Amino acid sequence: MKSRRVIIVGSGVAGALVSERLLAKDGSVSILMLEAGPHIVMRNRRMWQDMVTAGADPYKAHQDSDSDAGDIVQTVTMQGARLFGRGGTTAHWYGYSFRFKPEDFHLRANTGREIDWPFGYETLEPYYHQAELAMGVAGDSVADDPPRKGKPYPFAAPPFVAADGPVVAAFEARGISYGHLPIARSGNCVTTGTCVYCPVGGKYSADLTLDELESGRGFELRVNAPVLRVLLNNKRSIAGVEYMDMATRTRHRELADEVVICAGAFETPKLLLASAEANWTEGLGNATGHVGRHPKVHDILFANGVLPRNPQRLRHELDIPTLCTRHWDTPKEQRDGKFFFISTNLKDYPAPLSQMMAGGTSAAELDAMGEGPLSFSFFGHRECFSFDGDFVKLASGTNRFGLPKMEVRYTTSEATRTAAAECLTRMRDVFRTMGAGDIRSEIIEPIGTYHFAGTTRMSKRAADGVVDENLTVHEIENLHLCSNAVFPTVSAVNPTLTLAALALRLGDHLAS
Amino acid sequence: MRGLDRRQVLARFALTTAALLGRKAWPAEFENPLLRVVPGNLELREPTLTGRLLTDERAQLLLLFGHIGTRWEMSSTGVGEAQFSDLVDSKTGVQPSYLTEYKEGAALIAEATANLISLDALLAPRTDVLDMASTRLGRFQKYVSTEFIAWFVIRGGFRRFGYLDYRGYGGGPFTDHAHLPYRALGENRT
Repeated sequence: MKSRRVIIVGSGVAGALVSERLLAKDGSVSILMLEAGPHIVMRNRRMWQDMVTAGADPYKAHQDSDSDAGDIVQTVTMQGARLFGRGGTTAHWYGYSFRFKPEDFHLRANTGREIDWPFGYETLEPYYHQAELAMGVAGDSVADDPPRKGKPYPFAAPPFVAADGPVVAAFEARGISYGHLPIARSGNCVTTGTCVYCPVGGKYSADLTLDELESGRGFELRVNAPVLRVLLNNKRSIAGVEYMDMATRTRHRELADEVVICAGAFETPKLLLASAEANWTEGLGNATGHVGRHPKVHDILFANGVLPRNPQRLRHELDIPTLCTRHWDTPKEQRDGKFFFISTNLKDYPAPLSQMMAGGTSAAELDAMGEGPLSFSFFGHRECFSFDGDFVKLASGTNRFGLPKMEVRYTTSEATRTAAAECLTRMRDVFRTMGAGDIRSEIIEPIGTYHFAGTTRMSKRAADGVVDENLTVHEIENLHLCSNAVFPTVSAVNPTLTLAALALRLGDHLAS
Repeated sequence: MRGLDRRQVLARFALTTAALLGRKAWPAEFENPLLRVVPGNLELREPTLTGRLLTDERAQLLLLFGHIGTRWEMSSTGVGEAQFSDLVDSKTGVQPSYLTEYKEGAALIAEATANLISLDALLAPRTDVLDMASTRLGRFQKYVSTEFIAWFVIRGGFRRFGYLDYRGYGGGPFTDHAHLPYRALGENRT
């Protein structure tokens, strides 16, 4: 049987899970994965020690800045959002693993905004469950909104921490529904709390999947290998890719039967645009002008309140949030943008103990402060919608990973700010019910591009988007895209679980 | 006092007095050797130089580590030489290496104790000193004492302040709900 060769562009969670599923289901496949960034050293004890003792950033070499990325409009920032390297951005994600809700797939039908997904929640539901298994998500299997169809999470949710008590009481007093935050922490998690750089692999990150793939057959990963363009056989068929070996600064071509671009919502449209040629003068898949358009990202909202006394000496013992509310993540809220938030970052002292000590605070003083003010924080996302005229485009020059720089435009309107301000009011109201003082809230600006999406959106018709329901580029039979870029809408919650579900579904599709 | 001139004797006396009184009393005309500016930038010195500390150097640093436990009443939390060695061996044996900073730190501790300067005085923040970061004591506090404090707290010292678990410790899995490493809602464990 002839071997089928697939090239995957990007080594993040999408590429890793597409590869895993495809190799598991089709023994004839060989996969070459090309990653622009370098190897990321994970679970290194010394790097972890430097983080916890000296505040060192283990990912400093893998981040891009606004100036590195290109010409970025001031409403958003690239700073701290993406990681370039083996395993991609899940290396530093927090692991919040929410399913979208059924109405999220029908925003257009429900409100007239954006476009609908080409399929509904029912289609993705089995893959949500498979993604939860693949990523080791801990959650509340009893909660059934969104519907779970009786399929349990692989791990039970961490019970609420004692310090969630005042927030839970306020939720109940105000009739606000709440629940456990589903989080990608496997049975390996030992609650170190340094989840951004987990020392034991207790948090899912794509490098864990890559470790397994690289130890098996039919899979090769090359790092420091930015893909420069996609090569075509003819208008409807691609031949492979051209990439740069950053070590030798030489260009190479690799041929393939299928190419899957799993490069995120910035790099994916850029690669399509950079691949423009005679048959596709405006960029691959861009005959109808949707490549790089319809960008959307969550508003990031923050609120803080302080209880004057802490007589129970509640402590920030578990540095993993456990409590969230999706009370405003409902069909009723869809028109103006759904909203959810988590309770996080409890502060029982003004600073970590060691900082207080190094600053001269004695044990007796710390004891006295131990029943003092207790600061709570809420961190939320609000669903946003795209604006005509916003875009991601190619700019001149390349960044240090060998990728083209870009121009990004993203609009925030007065209506957006008004809706976000209403969400801040909701968070402040909870603090008031708690009896908290010193209540502060803000819309974080510029907006972090952590959940940037929509720039090669999925659509039933070529006229409305870039890929079809199987994530195949309209009119190019063997080019597929899998990243947040294909999301027609973003709901209010973190997108990674939905992306993982799409990746597994694409793996099945390619295998079939 | 053989070998010391009058200026050095006075300096040592002032240093000792300042330490015993717990406040700055260094005569302006004498340079405080602990506050001498270290030439160069503030980056880690000789980060590629790995190796092992001498026994005496290690003992000086362990003395400081133990004193951190005493000073903040964390000595009974089980943190001791094993945790100290875990950190120091890692930071001197792997790049970026702290070997030079630790050797300087050990020398500073020895010099201070020989002059009856308390370890508490070495740990105390000095907001009264301009450009503190570039002084010997500033570097010592950045690369040695502050990191030792953080490590002591993380490895178990937090228990002294009523925590069951702490960021960086890893109290155990959350999957065994009967033996959670933290206090859950409605639980009053001490």
